[in-house]
Amino acid sequence: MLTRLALRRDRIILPAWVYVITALVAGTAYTFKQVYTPAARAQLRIGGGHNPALEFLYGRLYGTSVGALTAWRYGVWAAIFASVMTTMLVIRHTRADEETGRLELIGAGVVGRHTPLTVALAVAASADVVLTAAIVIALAFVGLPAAGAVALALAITGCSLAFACLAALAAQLTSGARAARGITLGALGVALAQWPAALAVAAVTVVLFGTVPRGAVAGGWTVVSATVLAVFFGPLLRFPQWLMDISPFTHAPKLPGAAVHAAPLLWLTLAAAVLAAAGLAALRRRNIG
Amino acid sequence: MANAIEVRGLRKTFGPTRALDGLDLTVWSGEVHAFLGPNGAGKTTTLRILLGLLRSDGGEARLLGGDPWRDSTELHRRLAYVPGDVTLWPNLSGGEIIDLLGRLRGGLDPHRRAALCERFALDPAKKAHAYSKGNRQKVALVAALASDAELLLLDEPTSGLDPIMEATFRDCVEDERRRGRTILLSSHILAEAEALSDRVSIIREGRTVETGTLAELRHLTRTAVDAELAAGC
Repeated sequence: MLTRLALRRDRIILPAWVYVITALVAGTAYTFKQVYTPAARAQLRIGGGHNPALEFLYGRLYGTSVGALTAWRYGVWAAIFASVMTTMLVIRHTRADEETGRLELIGAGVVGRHTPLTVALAVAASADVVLTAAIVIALAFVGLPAAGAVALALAITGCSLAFACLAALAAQLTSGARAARGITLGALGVALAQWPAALAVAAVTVVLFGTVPRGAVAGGWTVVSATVLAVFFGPLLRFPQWLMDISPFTHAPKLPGAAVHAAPLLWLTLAAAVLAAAGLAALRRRNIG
Repeated sequence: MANAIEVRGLRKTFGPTRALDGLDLTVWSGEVHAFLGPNGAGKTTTLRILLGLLRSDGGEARLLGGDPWRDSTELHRRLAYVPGDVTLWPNLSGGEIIDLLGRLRGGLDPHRRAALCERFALDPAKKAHAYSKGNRQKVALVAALASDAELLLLDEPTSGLDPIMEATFRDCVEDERRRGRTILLSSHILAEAEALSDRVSIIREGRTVETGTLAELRHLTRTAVDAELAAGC
């Protein structure tokens, strides 16, 4: 019933997100296929893979197949977009509803305390499933190997699911939808930026939150934009691998091209499960409204 | 008959603010009870605790024989609630929202729904963003009145209605009383409480000041005025 409500409310925005992200990935793959011959791609690896300027702009290149190039160029971006999609979705159906008082109307019905949050997560997860299918089908049409396409799609939606669950937790810990969005998207930026840069921006956000609570939202967005830029310094500054592994986005571009590795996906799923459990636990004891 | 609502010494604080400070409230089954108090007296907080949305910090609350926090899902099958400030989903129509709220409670009577929309002059085909405050309130009222819940909790139900709709609402409450439903309605307007209710509880700063029928409380409203006109003014 609540799922129907959520789908009805999002009947335009969700298909739009899925279409744009799929078009981004498939369009990139198609262009790489059209523009570069295999020989040219090999050259690109020699030229671009070890070229600090390109590495700075796009990150490390892991292979020379069309799939690897696609993941290298837009895999992380697609994962970021998909994460923003589910973050907004989860907060729209939890914190924002509570803030406006619509959750009160629902909560007075025959609805368990956990149901609205569970439904929001379920809808986010289904959106990710649809997105996975859309990307796999689109990449199959472009002519990419199926295993690589599935791996890339799962890497993108895995990130997205992890952030949906983080948003579920943030929605319980904040008193406003905007703060919840700020925190989650800030964390998204932090995850991109790797550790040292993350510490610096987190400190800035905390200071902002302490001094001007209302500015924290703007702060959160500043953090995002600052760290989206900062992520590209990571490989350049040669951070140790374990630092890079903290970020979900590090796992995304490694997947296609080669064999499918389960480990990164397991990490993402584990992170999502822990965050979702924390979100539900936080909800259990608190006041609503 | 058992009491529909039993509240003893209810306490609730939000940070430094003491919203409820030992509130007592008893609502008999089948009566229309008005919950009267100035803005910020704790009326909405009490209703939210009764709905299991807030956890009380102390005291006792029983609703339809159950615990409002622990048994909330079960109890919600038997009650309908209209919030004081109704916010709806802007891109759904009024009719869709009425049906949604009805389904959340386990269905509502389509004939009563249609009759009530007619009575309140509500166009259910309009999208919620096109509704005024009064019309949003009507959506929630129609959904609550068309249900077969035995207890209605109404938080300042007339605050957005025009005088004609207010009269319609009073007729509806009268009908519900005759059907034997229990109604707890909060208000800050004495005249409304007087017109609608069997008994009144007056609260101030989170405490119950007076409870009883209006006849019993008459002494509170009696005012003596001595006027003297002096010549030369």
